[in-house]
Amino acid sequence: MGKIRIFVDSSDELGGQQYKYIAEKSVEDLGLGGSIDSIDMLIRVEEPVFIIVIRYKEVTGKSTLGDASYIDSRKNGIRITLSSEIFLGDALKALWSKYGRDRVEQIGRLEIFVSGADPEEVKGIRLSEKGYDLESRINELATRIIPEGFRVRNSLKKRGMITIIASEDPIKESWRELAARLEGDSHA
Amino acid sequence: MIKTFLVVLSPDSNLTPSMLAEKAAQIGGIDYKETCYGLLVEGEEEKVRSVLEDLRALDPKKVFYKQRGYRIGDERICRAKRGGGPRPGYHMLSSEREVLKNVSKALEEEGKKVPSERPKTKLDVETLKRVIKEEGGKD
Repeated sequence: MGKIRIFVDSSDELGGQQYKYIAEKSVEDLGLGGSIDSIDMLIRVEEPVFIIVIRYKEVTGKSTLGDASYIDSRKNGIRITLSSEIFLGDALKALWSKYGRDRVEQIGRLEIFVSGADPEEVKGIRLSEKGYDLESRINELATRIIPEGFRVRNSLKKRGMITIIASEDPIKESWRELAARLEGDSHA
Repeated sequence: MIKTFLVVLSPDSNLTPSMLAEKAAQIGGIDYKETCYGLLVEGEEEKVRSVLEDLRALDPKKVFYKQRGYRIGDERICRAKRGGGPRPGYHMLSSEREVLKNVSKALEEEGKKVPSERPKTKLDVETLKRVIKEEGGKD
C-alpha cells in the first residue's frame, strides 16, 4: 500500500482515532492503497457533522491489460507488471478465466507470470466489461467511513477530489465553509 | 430557487436507495438524504432537475419523482423536533408507492398494441346446457 496521509480533526479524541482506523481498514479492504493521496476528516460531535475530503489519482482509459501494465517475454511465458494494484483483482480474474489457475501465478505485489502465453494476446485482454470505475470505488470508500446514521449529505466533486458533508440535520452554510477550508488544508 | 424532490423507487426495481445515494454523490453539487423508499434531493432547481434525470436513467421505468413542499429536515414536519407522532405525508406516499409497480409495468408495455375487448353477447341456451352437463348438473 502506498503512503496515504490520513488526517482527523475531531472534537472527540478517541472517536477521531477510531475513524482514522476505520479509514485505514476501508482503504485496505477496497484495495485502493495505490490510488489515494490523502483522506481528511473533520468531526464535530456536538453539531453533529462529519466532513470527509478524499484526494485520489485519477485513472482513465485502462480497459485492457496492455493499457494497465508492462508486459515482457520470459522463458516459458510472460511477466506482467501492473501499473497500479487497483488492477490486480480484475487482471487475475481475466487471466484465470482465459488460461486457468494452473498457468497464472502472482509472483509479486504487482507482478503476474503466465506460462506459455503470447504477449500480444495478453495485451488485448479486457480487464472488465465496464472498464475500471475508480470513482465508484472512492464513493464506496466514503460511504464505508461516514457514520451510518448521517443520512443528510452533500457532495462536491472536483478533479481528483471528492468532499462529502454528512449529518443528521440539514446541511448548514457554516459546514460548507468548514468543508471548503478542509479542502484547502488537504491541498497544503 | 431551491427546490426539494422526492425520488421514489418502484417496489419491483432492482435498485436500492443506497445506489441512488451513491449516484447522487458521484454527480455532486446537491444535498440529498437516503430514505427507505428512495431519496430526497435538494438544490437549485436546474441542477436538481438534471440530477433527477441522471437518477431516472439508472432504471427509466422504475424511478419516479415528485416535488416536495418541505425542505429536508424542515422543522414543521420533523418528528424529532415535534416529539414523535406519525410521519406526515407518509401514508399518501406509501399508497402511491404501491401502485408504482403497475405504472412501471404500463410504461414497459408502452407502444404495444392493446388487445381489443371482446364484445359482450348473451350466453345462448345450448352453450349453457353444455356447461351444466360438463359440470355434472342436470337440465
